[in-house]
Amino acid sequence: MPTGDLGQLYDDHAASLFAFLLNLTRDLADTRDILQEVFRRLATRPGLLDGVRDERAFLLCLAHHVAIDLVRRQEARRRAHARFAEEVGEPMVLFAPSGDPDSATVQSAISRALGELPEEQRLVVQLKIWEGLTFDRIGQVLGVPLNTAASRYRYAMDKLRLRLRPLYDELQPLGGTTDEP
Amino acid sequence: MNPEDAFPGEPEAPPDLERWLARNRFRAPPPDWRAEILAQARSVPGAAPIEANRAAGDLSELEALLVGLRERLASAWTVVAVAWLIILTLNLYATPRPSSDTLRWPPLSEAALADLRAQQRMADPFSS
Repeated sequence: MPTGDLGQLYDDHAASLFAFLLNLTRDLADTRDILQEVFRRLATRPGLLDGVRDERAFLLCLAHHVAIDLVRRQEARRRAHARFAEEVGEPMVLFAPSGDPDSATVQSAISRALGELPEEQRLVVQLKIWEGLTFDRIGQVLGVPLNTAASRYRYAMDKLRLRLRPLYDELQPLGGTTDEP
Repeated sequence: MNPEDAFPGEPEAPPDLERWLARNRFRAPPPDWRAEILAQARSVPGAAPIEANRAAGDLSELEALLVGLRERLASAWTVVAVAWLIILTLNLYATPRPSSDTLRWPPLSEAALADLRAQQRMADPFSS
């Protein structure tokens, strides 16, 4: 990457950071604020990435810390928003829209199921499944021991399995494979 | 485990659920965010070009940890620093200072002086 190319960093990592933060905060405005703060810190602290081996994990870690600070400050607003979202029955749109109605149903169900998980389990699931991080790396990002990350993932997957199995079964063609629900 | 309680293929093939989930891609950030965020980041006073050193280094994990601690516990570090300064100040004021009297040697008697001169002569018999 050319020196000083903040834009390249954005192109490389903003999508992952966005998804991570949106799943964490469930609030587009908060996600925007946190992403802005992450890039502000990158711009003002030139040496922040010196020697960093895994930029993605490092930036996810930084975003998580910024989010904790922000969420702590905005806890009341966040709870009110979550209550409102729950009441109106519209889960946060986490996934890229798809023209397939089945796909839209699945995405909505997954969003709801993820939203029902405790925050710490939700983040582990996202970092493992969608970011492909190891439990060791997830532990570093979230500041928890490896075993804690692994057990959170196990608990979360048990819940997701129970929650999503009816839909999964419904979308399975008779005798079909699990790869094509 | 009852096979009816699991996704097909489980527990022998637990990644099925993961694969099913992973096929749904997260939405991308709104396109207009890029220009706004970068412009704001660059306009902040003190913003400097990033010198991203991608070289592998064992320092990275330690740095991540330190940055994390610094970011996460910023207020706690401030409290600790202030408390330490208070304790240091109190300690300085509470410690009794030695008076000038205790620092002064008592005057030597004539006998003591004579003994010292005798010892000096014995140690260095060639001096005048």
